[in-house]
Amino acid sequence: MMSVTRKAILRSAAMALCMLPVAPALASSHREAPYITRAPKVDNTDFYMFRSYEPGKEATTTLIANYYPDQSPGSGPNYFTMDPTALYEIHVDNNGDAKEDLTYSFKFTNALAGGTGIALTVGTKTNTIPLRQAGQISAGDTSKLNESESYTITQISGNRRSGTRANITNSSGGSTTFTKPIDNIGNKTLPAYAAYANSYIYGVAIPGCSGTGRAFVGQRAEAFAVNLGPIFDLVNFVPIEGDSAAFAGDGRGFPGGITQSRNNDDLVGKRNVTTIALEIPTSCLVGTGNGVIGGWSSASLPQARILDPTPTYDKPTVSGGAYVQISRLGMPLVNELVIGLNRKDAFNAASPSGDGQFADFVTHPTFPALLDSLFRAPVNATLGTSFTNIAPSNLPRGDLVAAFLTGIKTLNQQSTVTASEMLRLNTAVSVTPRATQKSLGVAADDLAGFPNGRRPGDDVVDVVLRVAMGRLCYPVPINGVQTDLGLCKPADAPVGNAAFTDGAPISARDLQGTFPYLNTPIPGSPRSVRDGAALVPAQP
Amino acid sequence: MRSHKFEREQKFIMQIFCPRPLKRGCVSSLGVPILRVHRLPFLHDSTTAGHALSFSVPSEFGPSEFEHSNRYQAQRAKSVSAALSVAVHIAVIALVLLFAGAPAKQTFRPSIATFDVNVPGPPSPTPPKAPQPHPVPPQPPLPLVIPPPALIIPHKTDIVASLLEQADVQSAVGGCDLTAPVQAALQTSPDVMLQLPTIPVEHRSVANAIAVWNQNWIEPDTTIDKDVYETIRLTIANTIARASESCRLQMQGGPRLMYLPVNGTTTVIALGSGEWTWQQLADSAQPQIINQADQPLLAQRASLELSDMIATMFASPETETTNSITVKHTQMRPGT
Repeated sequence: MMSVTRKAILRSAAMALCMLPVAPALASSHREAPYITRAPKVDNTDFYMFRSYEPGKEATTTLIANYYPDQSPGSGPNYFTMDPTALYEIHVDNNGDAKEDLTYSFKFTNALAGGTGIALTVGTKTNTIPLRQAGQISAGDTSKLNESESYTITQISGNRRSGTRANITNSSGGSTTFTKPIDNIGNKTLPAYAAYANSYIYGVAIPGCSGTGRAFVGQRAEAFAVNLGPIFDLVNFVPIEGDSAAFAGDGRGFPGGITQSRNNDDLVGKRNVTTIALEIPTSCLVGTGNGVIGGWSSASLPQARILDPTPTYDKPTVSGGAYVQISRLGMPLVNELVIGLNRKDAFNAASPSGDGQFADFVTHPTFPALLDSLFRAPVNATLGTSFTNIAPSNLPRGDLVAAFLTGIKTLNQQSTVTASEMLRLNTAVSVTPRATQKSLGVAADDLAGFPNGRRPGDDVVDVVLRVAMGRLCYPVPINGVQTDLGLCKPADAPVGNAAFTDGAPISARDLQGTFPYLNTPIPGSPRSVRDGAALVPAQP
Repeated sequence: MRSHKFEREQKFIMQIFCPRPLKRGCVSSLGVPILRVHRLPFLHDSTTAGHALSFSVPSEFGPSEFEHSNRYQAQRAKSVSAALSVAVHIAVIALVLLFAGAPAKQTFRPSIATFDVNVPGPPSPTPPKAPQPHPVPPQPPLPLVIPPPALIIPHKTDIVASLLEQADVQSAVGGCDLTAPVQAALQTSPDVMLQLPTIPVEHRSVANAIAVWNQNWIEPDTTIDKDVYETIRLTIANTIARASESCRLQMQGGPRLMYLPVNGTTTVIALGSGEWTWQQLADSAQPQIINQADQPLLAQRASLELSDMIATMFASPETETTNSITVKHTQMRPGT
């Protein structure tokens, strides 16, 4: 008997090994820490927080948390379901104490059609089918869907585990359960995916909030633009704009510098991601603070997971214990480029209120020093300069502290300032319409953009590259007037005025202008549509 | 280390996410024991012998730290070892026996079988009549009244004076900042709020910001109604003049942004750059052209479109055009 038990354990162990992710080794805002690479379903890849710029929705704020990176379109038959044992959460601090005042907690449930799945009778036997669909699916007909995902949304006021909990409900009918559309398998299964997915955008009633919001969870095309392979290959290109201006096409920028092209986004740009999007009346988010809200997203798993040697669809594993946060995202690229490799898992597990332990990584960052070691000699050779260090010398880096940990005074600093890593949005700043948004945000005279919150069209890779190398030591335009932010001086940053870029552009014009703002996911087939969807030309 | 992998013969068996792992278990971030790991004798099979791992959940681990739903408690219960289950059963039985002897106050309800309707009871005093709610006649639904958009301007004097007082208090410890009183003064000025919308969109940033002072007062051109800029300048200067001198002279770092909600949108008034004092705004009598010779490529690029537009539209002999904005020489009259 015990022998049988032991064999079962070994079988489960073998199964566990098989379950380990075998995705190709990528890294960016995605798969950024050692441990999270093993748990892609709960890997929080991007977080956006901005005043809604869909016309007519300016009184609301949109919060978007993306999870589950590297979704190759067409990765059937299972595609990309969320982890039903996990909590996916978006947190808002509206008074500046670096603790969540509001949490929106998403919990998923997967179910087979009819409990056991669609079955077919073959000869004398009736067996369940191996696919997630048995035929075409549309907004009006999901009868051929073999597996569905649903979710609940709970608003928690106060501490995310001990605060006051209340369900967010469908404003039409009051249901507390919402449906996540199946991923974009391809045009034969889902001939009108956009319409199908849009039918799962819900109007929602939010407890304690007089207005209504909207919610959507589903697959979207990646909006994180990055020159992924070369940038992590010791920046295998010259990361300064090669044209006199982005998209100028004149080659009159930095000699040998990279120029903007969608082809530079050829890895992440051909992938999908799972989006959790909430639109909430801004008045319901700001609380008693000064109108600046801090936000971040996270994912947590039960503390213990035991593999069942006799797994079932409903319960492949047994999980229990307190939830432990294993992924976290506020400001983009912090865990990727700022936190040391040995502390990345700890950062993912930490809350903003505990960020003091990581302060040295911000005040004395290593990434600019790495760029110095990689590019000082080429820069000197190209420009005929004799820089002894192209990394900013203002240590501790007060400019980075302001950008990443405290917010900038009167722009996006909260009434109480607690140094902590989160996205900070001043909800008083007017919405910049999609047509006129600047993808470089505040650095390009658009106060409604990053780092005042983050919109999907903000080119955060370029902004972070520049800020890391001292862009904020130089004046930024405010209404066209060059304005010294008072954080450091040009002398502190020898190349801080260079137009650092990875050459992978993104702008609001590349993305849809309505909730949930991220584009319809790239379909798995046909090949021509799949490849075409990934190569939409970038808009200046 | 945050994650424990319990391995045996290089096989991944169980995984625990632990805030504070210990050698034989795990405690929460508050130091509360979460899991204890036991090494249990593993009976021989045909090939190997060894130890299996099991874990138990300490009873002192409270439900608030644990999963809030019964579902997870059920999962947890299923995941504990058989040995622990015996112990838990004993504990549960003991608890049941313990509580069985105590009055179940919250769940007690009198049974109807104990109520003898045939035995008259002692006369009881007439209970006071409960107040009857007055019937409310059905009311017709109130008509939805949408007030016409109105400019709501709070009372000026109290707010500004109060904020100036606060600023002066802060100035004693070196933290004087007149942003709040100046913003309040602008918000409570009917002239400012009425005239602000007249500034055309071409003279605002894409996010509706208007820069008004950067070592000099800024004014785009004479071809638009200049009264609004003059009104803004006077309001700001008058407010500064009411602050203490020690406050006005304190060094400020970086710009100050002020937010003026008008007609459903917010105009951002920007002033200040680098190191400056509020007193400098009052003293800005000598106009200077903003020197942008050394501005970064990025900023030039970002402002090119706007600057070209402004330069084309408003260049005139009375103004001097930089590559991003036209600066009007303006004589200020502080304190007027």
